[in-house]
Amino acid sequence: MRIFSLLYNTFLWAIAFAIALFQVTWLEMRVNIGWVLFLWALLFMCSFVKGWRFGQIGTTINLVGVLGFCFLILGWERLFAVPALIIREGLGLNRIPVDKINFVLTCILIIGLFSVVICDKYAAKRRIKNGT
Amino acid sequence: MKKLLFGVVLAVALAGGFSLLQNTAEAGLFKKSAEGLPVEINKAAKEIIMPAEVNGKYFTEPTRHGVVFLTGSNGEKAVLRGLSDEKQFHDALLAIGAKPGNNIKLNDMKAGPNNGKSVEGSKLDVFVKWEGSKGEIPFQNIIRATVERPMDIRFGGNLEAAQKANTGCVLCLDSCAVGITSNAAYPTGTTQHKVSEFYGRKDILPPDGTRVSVIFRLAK
Repeated sequence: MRIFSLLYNTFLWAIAFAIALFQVTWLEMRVNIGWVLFLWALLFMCSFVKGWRFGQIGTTINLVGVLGFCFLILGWERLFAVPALIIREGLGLNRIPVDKINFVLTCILIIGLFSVVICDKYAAKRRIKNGT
Repeated sequence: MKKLLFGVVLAVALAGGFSLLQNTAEAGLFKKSAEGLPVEINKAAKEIIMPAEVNGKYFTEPTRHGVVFLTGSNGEKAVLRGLSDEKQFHDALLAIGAKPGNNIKLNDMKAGPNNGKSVEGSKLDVFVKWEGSKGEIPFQNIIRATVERPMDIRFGGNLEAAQKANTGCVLCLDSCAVGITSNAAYPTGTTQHKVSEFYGRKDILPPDGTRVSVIFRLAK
C-alpha cells in the first residue's frame, strides 16, 4: 500500500514538473518533454528510501495542489490537452487520441485516490483493532 | 541498505517499463517507416503532394514548424506530421523545376527581432486537403499567427543542413536555415524573439490524427 501511495504521489509531482518545463517554448521545441516522466522513477526511489508516507489527507492535498498548479499555469482549455500530450509524446504513442489518454489519466487519478483513501482507512481500523 | 536496494530495483523497474513501452510503441503498433511514404509528383502541374497527419498538440501550443517528417528529431513538433522524407521532398521540388534559395546559414538563425534574413528561392503555393474538406484549403488558413502576415513560402533548399541536422523539417513557419521550405514573410529571429507565435487552427483543421494531403505547387 505504501508503495502504491508513493507511486501515485510521485507520479503527480513528475507530471507537474513536466508541465512546468513544457512552458519553456525553447525547450519544448527541442526536447521530448515526456522523457521528464522518467523522473517519476527517481522521485519514487528517493521518497521510498527516505521512508516517506502519504495517507489519504496527504494524497488529497497533493492531488488538489498539483491540479491547482496545472490550472494556474495552463488554464482551462490547455489543462485538458497538455498533460495528455506530454504522456503521449513521452510514451511514443503519438497516434492515440488525446481524449483517450485523458480518459485513462482521469481514471488513474480518481481510482488511485480512492484506493489510497480506502486502504488508509482500512489500515487505520486495523491499527485501532490491534491497539497499536 | 536493504531499503535502498529495494528502492533502486523498483525505480529501475519503473523506468525500464516506461522505456519498454516506448520502444514497443515505436517499433510495433505505431511503427515509423524510416523512408516514409512516397510523395506524389505531377511535373505537368508542377505540384507535389505529401501525405501528413494533423498533430492536435499545436492547436493550443505555439510552434515554428508547419510540416515535419515523422522520423525527424522534430517529428512531433509540427502542426502537420509529414509522412514523407524531407530529402525526397527536396529532390521532388527540383524535379518540378523549383530553384532553391540556399541563402540562409545557421548563423543567420541568431538574428535579433529586427535584423533577420528572409528565405529566398522559388515561390510555392501551399494547400491542404482532406476527406470532407471544402476543396484545397490555403496553408495560411490553417495557421493562426499572433502577428498576421500573408504567407510567402519559398524553396529554401538547405539540403546539406537538413541531412546534417536530420530534424525532418519540410515547411517552417518562419525563415529557416534547415527547413526545405519556409516562410519568407517572417525573417529569421521571429520565433526566437517571439515576434510572432504560430498555432494550428482547430476551427479549420480536422481532428488530431486525421490524414491530410499537403499540396506544394510552383507559383506562376
